[in-house]
Amino acid sequence: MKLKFDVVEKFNIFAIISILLSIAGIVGVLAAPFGLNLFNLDIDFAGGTTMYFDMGKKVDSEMTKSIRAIFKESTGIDVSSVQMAGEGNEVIVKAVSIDTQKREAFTDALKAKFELTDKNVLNVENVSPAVGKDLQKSAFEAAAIAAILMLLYITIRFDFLSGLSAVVCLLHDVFIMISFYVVFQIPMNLNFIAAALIIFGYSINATIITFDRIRENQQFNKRGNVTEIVNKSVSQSLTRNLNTTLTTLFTIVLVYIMGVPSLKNFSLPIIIGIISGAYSSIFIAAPLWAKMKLAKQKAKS
Amino acid sequence: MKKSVISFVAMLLVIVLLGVTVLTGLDFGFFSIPAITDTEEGVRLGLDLVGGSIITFEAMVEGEIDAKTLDTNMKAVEGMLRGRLDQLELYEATIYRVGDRRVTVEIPSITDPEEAVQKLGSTAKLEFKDSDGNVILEGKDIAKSEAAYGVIDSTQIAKNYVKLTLTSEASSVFTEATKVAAGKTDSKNFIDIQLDGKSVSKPFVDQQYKDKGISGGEVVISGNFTPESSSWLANVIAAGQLPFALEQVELRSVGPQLGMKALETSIKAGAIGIAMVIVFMIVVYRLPGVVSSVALLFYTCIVLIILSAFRVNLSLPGIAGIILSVGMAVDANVVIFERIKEELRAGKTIKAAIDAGFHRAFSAILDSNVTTFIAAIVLYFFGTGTIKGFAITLGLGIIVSMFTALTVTRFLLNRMVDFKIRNIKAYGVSDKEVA
Repeated sequence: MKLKFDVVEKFNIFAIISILLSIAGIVGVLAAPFGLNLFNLDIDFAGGTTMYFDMGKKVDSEMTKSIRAIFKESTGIDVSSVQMAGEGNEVIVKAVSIDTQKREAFTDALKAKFELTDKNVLNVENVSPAVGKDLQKSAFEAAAIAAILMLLYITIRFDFLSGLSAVVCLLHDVFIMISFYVVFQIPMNLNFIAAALIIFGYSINATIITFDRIRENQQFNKRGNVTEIVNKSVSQSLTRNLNTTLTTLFTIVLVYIMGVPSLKNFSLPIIIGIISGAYSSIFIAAPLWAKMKLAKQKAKS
Repeated sequence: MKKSVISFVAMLLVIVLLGVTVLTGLDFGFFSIPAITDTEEGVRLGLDLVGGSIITFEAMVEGEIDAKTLDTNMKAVEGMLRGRLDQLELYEATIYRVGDRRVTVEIPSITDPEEAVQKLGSTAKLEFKDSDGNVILEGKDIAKSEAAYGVIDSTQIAKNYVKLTLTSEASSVFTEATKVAAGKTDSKNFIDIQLDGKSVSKPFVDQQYKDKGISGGEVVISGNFTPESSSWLANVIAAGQLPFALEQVELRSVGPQLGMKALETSIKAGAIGIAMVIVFMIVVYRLPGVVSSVALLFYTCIVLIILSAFRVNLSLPGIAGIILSVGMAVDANVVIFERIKEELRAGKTIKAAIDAGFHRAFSAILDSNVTTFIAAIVLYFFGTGTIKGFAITLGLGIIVSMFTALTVTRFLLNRMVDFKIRNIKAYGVSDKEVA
């Protein structure tokens, strides 16, 4: 690598990029407790009913119109949306949470009208809002405890500032994922929580590899200039970080391209998180550590 | 040299053997590894893969209820649901508590989930009938139902039994009814306890009550009870007087078609993903890339064998976790190979570069995997359902991939040196780069 790499000097630029990318997510999370919802909440959190049918023939606008009418007639409620899915023969019907009698009435009416059987009912989901809230809470607790334990481990094996930078990077990655959901109004569901937790475990990996390099370079060069050591370490671990990101992306992008809807919902946020994790481990983790270290040295002298 | 060839071939044979084990299974007598396709004995596929329904009911408690009473009532709910599932012939179903007032029922391969929701969630109907089918008591007449252990008759031997406390209004009705029942002959002196119209217990009324009946509102049902069976019956009877209704708060139902499709596409995606990673590694790292590809096959086999042998519950996120872990599994190799390249560029011999590469990469591999492992453990203990499943595959992937990189990759690379493949180009470094 003959490339000149001055990540520490340009840290401010990277920090601004990161803030811009994650601001929507931060605002989204902070606004939520005040009753301002910026997310497109899926039934997992908002409550509701989703039904997924294989209609056995091409879905056209006439058919969706007819499905809307049947829904209104059998349940007395207006359907929220009727979407085409899969290769054009499938349809996803969404509505507020309705009880089992109404669901059955609608399914029976639909089956009768379009000559469907139980086999054509691909998927039915009904959730009341309280369920998602509980899961959200336990996921948040899990993430907080994992972060504290990681901070502890990294502090023991490296130093406190490394642990702090690593955890900041983790939060950074998760907030960028959340931003993506806010900006593109992707339906927020339990898949997101699982994906965010995965990124929590995965993206710390690359950060540690970089810190390991710094630790090693410091041993060889005890009185070395912090900025130089960090720049050198980041450039030395760059190829590894990029290659590992690529191999991981190969597999997960394939899942996204080939997967059924639920797998797509699950793999998309992971892809965003992996890319953001690669970015933060190169441009944020080590330079942030260097800035904090330098500030500490300055304060001492 | 000869020794190296033998050990090299032996290693390849081991990997082939592992591959065969994955496909056909292996039986050691005391311990057997089912084939990966064997979902009866081996890996358990989640409902999102085979189709089925997950239904969560919540107790609609009105007002305050203390934790202990709630717990007893919820146990009664579980017993009642089990009974109803058996009645519907859904023997494969599993029931578990979630939090303090929710119960989740998982039913594989069910085609009409709404019927299950309605039948399982309806209010329990408890009836005590005499031999002619006349209703003596109903759920509201039972004040308390509990399992107990102690001496209850002249035998002076402590037994398991069920103790019922009746309401004062019901007490006198029961006294009359038992007087009549005790007087019957031809084994008709029983009281039939029915839940939802199905008999759950038929205790006989002893002859001694022929004249006075069972009075005082306290009833003892004894018999050949174990602690489990007595508390089961106590719970079933308690279910007939639950102070709350059950409401379905969550239903996730996947048709078998969709499940199959999800499974097929993930397997396909996984296979193509592994192939792409192999091509990438060989193009970038040449000979070590080939070595890591062999190690990756080893890794995949071991993970599949563990999933099968320990009957891991595999759901869609779990599979995604495994596919993701394939990408992560080569990570340790990438770290090591990058180090080896650096050492070669610094002018070291192949042998020295490999040793130094492993030595120096070790701390990075250890620390990065430990931090990820911490996340997996926390997810396992705090997560529910699918998140737990993912935590297992993630944790498993970390341990196996670290082991593979530090042993199999290293072993195979050293054999390459033994085979005198010492051209640094084979290791992805050009002559010009060497200092």
